[in-house]
Amino acid sequence: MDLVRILKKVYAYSMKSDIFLPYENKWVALAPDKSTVIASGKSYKDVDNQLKKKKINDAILSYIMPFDQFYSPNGKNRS
Amino acid sequence: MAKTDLSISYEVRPKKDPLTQEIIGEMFFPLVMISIKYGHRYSRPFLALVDSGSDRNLLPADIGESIGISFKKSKFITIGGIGSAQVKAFPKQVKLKIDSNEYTVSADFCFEQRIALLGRDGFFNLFQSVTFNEKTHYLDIKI
Repeated sequence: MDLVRILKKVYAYSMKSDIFLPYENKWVALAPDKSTVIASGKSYKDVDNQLKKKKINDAILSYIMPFDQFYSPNGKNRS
Repeated sequence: MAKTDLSISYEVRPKKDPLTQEIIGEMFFPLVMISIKYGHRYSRPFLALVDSGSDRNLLPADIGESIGISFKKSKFITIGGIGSAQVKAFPKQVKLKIDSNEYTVSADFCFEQRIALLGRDGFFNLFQSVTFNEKTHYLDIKI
């Protein structure tokens, strides 16, 4: 593993998952370095509107999946 | 400019015991920052789950509407997942931006879907390989 990869991994592990605890099953807007939550809401639209009001353009949006559920994939059937 | 391979660290989230609801650790997810473009409008950057079990890309319809996609008169397909649950989804051609690269892809937009999924057709097939490193918590994308 090269140095850059090690540093990236250290950075990823240093991110506190605790910051997401209040936002289970919600949408959040993260600061560009993903270290802080700057807005949250029930839907993408809700968070998008908050960011527009605050004139923030560089946030990263993410849905915070429930912490007690395991994800399984969807398949597809054509109607 | 030549496209360079990507090595993306997994994102960390809390993990709860489903029975006791206590926080029992952390889980790592292969979430990739992307944005989509329709016409001349880009979405805000958002995190999407790389999912080798999904046939196609499945995105929240809210994100599509935020960049001007209308689903009112669109044809829909039915998406099946676990058990007998089925939802309507609206296939659209969009540009998918990852890192500084853009790709024209098809994505299904669904009002019931919350987490964005990147599937085999429209994500995995864009690259030579997509490797999940579950021990190092890295997603390696060979372009």
